[in-house]
Amino acid sequence: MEFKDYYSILGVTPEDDKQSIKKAYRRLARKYHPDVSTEHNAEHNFKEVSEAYEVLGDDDKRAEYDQIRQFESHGNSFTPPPGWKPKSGAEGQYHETDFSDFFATLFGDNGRSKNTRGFSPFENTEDFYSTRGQDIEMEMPVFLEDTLRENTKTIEYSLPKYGPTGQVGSVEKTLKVKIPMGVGDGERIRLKSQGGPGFGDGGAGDLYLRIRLIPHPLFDVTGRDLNITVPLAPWEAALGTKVTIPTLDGKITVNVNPESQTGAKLRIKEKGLPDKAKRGDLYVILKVVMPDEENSETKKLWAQLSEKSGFCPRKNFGK
Amino acid sequence: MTEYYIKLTLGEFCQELDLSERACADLIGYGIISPQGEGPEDWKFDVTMISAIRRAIRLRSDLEIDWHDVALISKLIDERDSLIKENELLKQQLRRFLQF
Repeated sequence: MEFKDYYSILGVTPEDDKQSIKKAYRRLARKYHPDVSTEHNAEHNFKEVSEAYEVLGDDDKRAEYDQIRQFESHGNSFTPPPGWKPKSGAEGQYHETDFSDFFATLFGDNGRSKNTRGFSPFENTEDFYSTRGQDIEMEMPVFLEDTLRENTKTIEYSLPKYGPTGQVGSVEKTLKVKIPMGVGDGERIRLKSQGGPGFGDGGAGDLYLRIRLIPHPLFDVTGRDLNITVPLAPWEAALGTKVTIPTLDGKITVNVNPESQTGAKLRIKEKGLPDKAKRGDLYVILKVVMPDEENSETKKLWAQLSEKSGFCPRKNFGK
Repeated sequence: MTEYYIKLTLGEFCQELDLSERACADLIGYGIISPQGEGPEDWKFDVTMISAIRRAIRLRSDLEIDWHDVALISKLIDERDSLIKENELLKQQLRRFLQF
């Protein structure tokens, strides 16, 4: 088991007082809090910082930890001294925690204070022996095409399994879920009582599926509207044309007006993503593209055009 | 079993979060969530508000800050997430525009 240097995790020394430890914790908690931080290892760092503060911010636990630090052998795995028994942790009560094995060995699985992170700061009406199961949130990737109609998806996830003394393993669960028509990115579907099992008489938690629309190779999503960029040859933009474009439900033909500019947007009504009431729109963004290769004949035609046209796009350039 | 367009009443919402109605009204007062409806009798809560309250409770307890700070941080996190999303979309559109 790895020894945890809580002082180093918080960036403090064993001589620092409680106030300094609190200050260090607050600074690091703000830096690594998973709800605030965008760093990829924020959650892991936050757990380490929380665990360190749980010990160093509590006089009794800190005293026990200081005692046990003497047994740390650098470079080797840590083993607590023979006969070590935690004093500061409550025994025989289940409490979910993400703290390390090191913490659990020193303070018991239940060393974490009851009135701590994750609990309601208002009240706790739960019987400590009967705890409602944990709500679980999972991401549910959905293709844009699948939002057009109701779909059934199979999801697999694991749930903790509890014995009388706490978690004793996990069980795999498979569910068929109906994804309604018109789901949007970030929306949540609740599956009641499909979350973590309760402890004692507590009911199971809920399962929340957070919808994530899978990026599409052609369409970009803005709310309920879709955008698609369509390339045009210069003469198509100049003379106008009809182009066939894909939509989520089949191809359609759209008219491009003569003298269309790059960046011009054509609105195709109700070809976007569906909502409860109606569908969003599809915006076709035009982009004029030059040909890759020219032969002598086309070059001649461009030259003729250059001579005949009085157009200069830089007429007011820099004025 | 699947609930999608759920709107919870104040009682259901508080039960889900193990909060008193008074505490919930306080959080609404701080602007952490804004249910639809004129007053407690009419309030309708969205499922995403459950996550918002849970996040607010975590922030308050983990960062040891008061509810005013929580409300401000929650608002800034939401704005940041929305800007990240918008930035990703604009980058994607730019990539598409440059790729031909």
